[in-house]
Amino acid sequence: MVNLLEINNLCIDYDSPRGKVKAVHNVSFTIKKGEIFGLVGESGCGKSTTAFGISRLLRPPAQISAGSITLNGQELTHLSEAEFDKLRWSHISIVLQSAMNNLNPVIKIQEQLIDAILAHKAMSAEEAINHAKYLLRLVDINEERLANFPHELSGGMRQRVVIAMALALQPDLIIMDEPTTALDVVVQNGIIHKILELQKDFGFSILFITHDLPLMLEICDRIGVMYAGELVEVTKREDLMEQARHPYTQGLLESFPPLKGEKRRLKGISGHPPDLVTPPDGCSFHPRCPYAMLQCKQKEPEKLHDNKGIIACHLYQEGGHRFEQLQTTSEGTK
Amino acid sequence: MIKNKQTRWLLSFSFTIMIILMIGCTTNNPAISSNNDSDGKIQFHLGETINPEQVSNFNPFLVNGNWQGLFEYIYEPLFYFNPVQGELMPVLAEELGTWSEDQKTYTVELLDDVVWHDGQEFSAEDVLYTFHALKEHKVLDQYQIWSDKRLNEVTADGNTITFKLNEKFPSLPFYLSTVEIVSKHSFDGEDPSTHLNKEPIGTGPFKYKSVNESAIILEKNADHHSHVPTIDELVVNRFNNASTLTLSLEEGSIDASTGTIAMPSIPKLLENSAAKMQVYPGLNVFSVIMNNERPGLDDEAVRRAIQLAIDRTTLIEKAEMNSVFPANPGFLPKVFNEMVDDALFENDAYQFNIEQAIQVLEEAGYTKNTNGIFEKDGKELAFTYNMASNAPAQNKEGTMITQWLQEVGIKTTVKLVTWPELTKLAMSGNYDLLQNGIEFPPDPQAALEVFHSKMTAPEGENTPGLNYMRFSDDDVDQWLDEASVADETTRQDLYKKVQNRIAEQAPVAVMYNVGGHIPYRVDNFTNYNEDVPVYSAISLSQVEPK
Amino acid sequence: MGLNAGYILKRVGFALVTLYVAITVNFLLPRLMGGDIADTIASEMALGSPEVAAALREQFGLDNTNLFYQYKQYLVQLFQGNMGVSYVNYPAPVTEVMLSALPWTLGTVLIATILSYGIGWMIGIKGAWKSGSLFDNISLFVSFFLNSVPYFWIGIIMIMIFSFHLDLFPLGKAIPHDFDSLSFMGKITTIIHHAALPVISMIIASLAGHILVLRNNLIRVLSEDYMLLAKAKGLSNRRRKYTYGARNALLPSFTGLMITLGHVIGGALTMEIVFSYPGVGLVTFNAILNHDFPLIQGAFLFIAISVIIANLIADLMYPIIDPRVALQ
Repeated sequence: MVNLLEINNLCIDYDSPRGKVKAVHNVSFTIKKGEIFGLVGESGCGKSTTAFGISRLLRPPAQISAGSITLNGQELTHLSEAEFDKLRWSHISIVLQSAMNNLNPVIKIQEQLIDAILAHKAMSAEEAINHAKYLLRLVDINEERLANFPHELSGGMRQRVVIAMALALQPDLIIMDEPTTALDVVVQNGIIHKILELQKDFGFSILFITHDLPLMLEICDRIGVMYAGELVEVTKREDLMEQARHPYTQGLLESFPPLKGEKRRLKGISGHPPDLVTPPDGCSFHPRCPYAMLQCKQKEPEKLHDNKGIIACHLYQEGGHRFEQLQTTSEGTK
Repeated sequence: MIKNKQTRWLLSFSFTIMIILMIGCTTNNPAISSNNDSDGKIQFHLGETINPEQVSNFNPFLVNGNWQGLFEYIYEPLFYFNPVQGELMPVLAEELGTWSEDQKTYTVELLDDVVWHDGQEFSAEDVLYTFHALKEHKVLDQYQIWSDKRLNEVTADGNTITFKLNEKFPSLPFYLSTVEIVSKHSFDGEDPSTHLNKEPIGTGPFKYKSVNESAIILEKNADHHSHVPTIDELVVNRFNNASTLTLSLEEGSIDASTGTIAMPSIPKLLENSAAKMQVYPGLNVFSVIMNNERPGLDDEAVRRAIQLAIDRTTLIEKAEMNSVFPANPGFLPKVFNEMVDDALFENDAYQFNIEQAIQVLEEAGYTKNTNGIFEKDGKELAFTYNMASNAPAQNKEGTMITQWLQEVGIKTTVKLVTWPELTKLAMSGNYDLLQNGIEFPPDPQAALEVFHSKMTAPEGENTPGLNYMRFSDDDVDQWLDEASVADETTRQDLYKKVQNRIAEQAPVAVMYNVGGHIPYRVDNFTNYNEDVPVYSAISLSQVEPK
Repeated sequence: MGLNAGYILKRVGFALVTLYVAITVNFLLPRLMGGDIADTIASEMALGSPEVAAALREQFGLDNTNLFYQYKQYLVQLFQGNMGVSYVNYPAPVTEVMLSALPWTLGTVLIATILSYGIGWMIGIKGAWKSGSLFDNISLFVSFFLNSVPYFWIGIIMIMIFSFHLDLFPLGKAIPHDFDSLSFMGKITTIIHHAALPVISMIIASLAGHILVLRNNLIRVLSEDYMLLAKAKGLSNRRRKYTYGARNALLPSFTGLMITLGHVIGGALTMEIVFSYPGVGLVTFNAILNHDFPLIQGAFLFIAISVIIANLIADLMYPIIDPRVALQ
């Protein structure tokens, strides 16, 4: 499979009165064509920031300070605003959380669907309306709804409209940031299924962001775990379900109750995320890690690549307890 | 961050500079603009505060809905009362009229060859119509000329008008000067008490031409019987506040006003050598009016003390910019010439003297209490002091007066009310002290009758006249009754007695006499007649451009 | 979305009830001031003669002091379009007095209000869109300054600079004295020339509020999700600024605009005084000072009707511009 999106050492920070906040620090991963890639982590870990950095939706004063983002081989960070605007929606689109105001409250659904289309493609009004009707059909919404305003739709319907909108120009990548978090479980289920169905039909990649790990395990092909602005682990779904490698990921898994299987005690992760202005020395996670060793306090763990994915933990370094668990890769450390 | 801070400093600095420059610029005198010639016509620009409601009608009979000043240019009375000299001048009459032996008939000869503005001939019929209109419509007879004690009938024989009186009424000629003669034919068929008279026809030196939001335009009457104006048009510019009017005067876009001017601007205006000010006494005496029936104020000593506490010179200088006349402690203003007891003006007993005021009170048995206020039998000398609310000059004077009273030891509480309320309080007697002007027609008898007991009513009832003070003195009544039918020398004598009694009793504490304070410019026009008010029809019909 | 008949009827009905209450209160208020106008005029003009006062009272219809009688007369005359006769302008009817001043007020105050809102909103939108920029900083600074400055100061400064010193504009008034002799175009030009300073000064004085309100509203709107979505869609700057941003930010200000428009009829007293400009404000003010009941009633009634109508229009228009408002 070809790499659709490549992120290399992406750094995003912003100035605050107390100093520079390193919201995203040296994050690297790839997304393949047609793949569903999940980004998971606690609130404030930088997953949304990463996504907005990729789609150039960062609000000042946040800005990309280093790193590269390539889409289909094209370096995005060098593009001007006008050039990037051409890519918007036609190559990258977004689906945001189902908030009250995720759609413009004062214009009709039809208009909101159409303006995205017409911003990039020339078509007659009639064609555009037909396309809008088609989009609504894709998400099982009656085309009469075109004449409605957003507040006349239920939360679930609005979210489906947003999804349909995201598909309008058949982009390569759709970034979905907590798309179902605000919906009830039943509706959530329906929407997730619809997303998967559409993905199969159209073959777009999804960057799926959530803090809900079990959901992620259900739908994503590969999963990236972020902590304190850093990507600590990337792994395939099956591998993660079988065995989480990074202690943080382990902690996350143990924080969620299993639906089936034996009952076990819920274990949280003691402590709280670090201050991003002055993060701890060495590995950011070490204050909360049950396996912390001496070098964890002193040195940042390198990112190790193997067949399973990426792991950034001293346990898997040479000399670490789990060194043998690394799957052979001749590339070694980066 | 730093960039923003810098911008902010730069902005504040440049803004402050701008403000300073703006304020600095406003102290220069601009060039005088001359806008007198429009199509080669010679225009004299008068300015006055004339509100929209004052051009609702042009009917000289009505007291509301018009600006009375306008009628002095368009219409003429039989006689004109000239306040500068304090005497009557014949206008439509050949000369001042003659009395019969029994003093009950007054005969006036009209001028020949007088023509109305529309070309029709003027005749005695018009005079008869005018006076009969007053008789038939009581609401128009301001001064009740047609009362039981006064006019009985008015008749005409050719060009001679005869006024027959019920009783002796020596003041009749003065009252005749208040009646503008209108043409019978322009009022024909109309009710004079409601007729709007939008196209006024008069006999005066100026004819009505047009009116708009900006001005009333009069043109010269080329057929005037006595003095055809030199100027072609008299433009009465309308303003709705004194400040803009004064600015126009300073700028030179108007040549004179009929008296309105923003007082504080007078010194600056007069710095310009082209600007002058004509000041003369008149028919309005501003005073601290005291309710003589209220406890404390019923004591002559207290009233005298208040009279002594008022520094009239300072009021005139500081608050009225020397544009008003000193007042007579005996009330009668200088405009009435020989009827006035001049000695009273300088009499030490009635001049500003705080120590004397204190002495008067102490001699009358008052003592100062711990608050510094005089009291007697446990009653403090404390009064409410009413004055008009949107009159800055009045308020300034009121403040000065209350401070002087405080120095003497009399406490006052100021209460601001609107002008109509002020009148209501005065008429009904619901006040202690009240600051207002008392205005009267050009008749010395009427001026002094302000103190006649028949002009007052007990507190709670409205006064039938101007005796708001509830003052009553049998001698004064008697003297005035005698004077109402006496000959001139006897009147003079009696009036002197009345004035002295008033000064002694001090039912009011006089402040100043308002007559005319006329600003006018001499750079574009010359030959103003300074023996009459310079804005009057007589003067303006002889001004000529320089 | 549309208005149903029920909603319209309800709002109109409410407006009519309010109008009736306004008419009644309007009748009572001046009478609470007290003061007998006939006595006042008589004492000023006729040496306080009670005969003249009585005659005046009859003229003004005040001879019957029964309040109910006067109220009945008032209502009956009102429905005949007769607002009574002004005391001070006697015998000019109130409607004539009001209507002669009204065009001047509408011409200046109305235009100034509309322009002030329009310009203020434009500046506010631009400032919010590029918040922190030089334009934003300057417009904020100027707004705060203007907001703290009283109107008459601005008016007087403008007169001093532009009329008195630079002689670019006339020293007040609405028309020149020779207005009647001008051509039609000449008349139009001079009216505009005279109205320029009053209108500009009114705009400057009221600009700040509009700038600040809209700027803050738009900044708030910019943080909403749909703005982010609009950017992600790659919509043009213009569309995002106006259809997504301003369209939402203006909603709270709309009611304010309508109410201010309703009050336009009340004139602008300070402007009329400073510029010697004819208008309803000064007429009303003088009427109050003179205790001229019919004129006070007339003026306040005009204002009340205007505000009620403006409110009604705002009520009817609001569901159209904000679809979220329920039509109950």
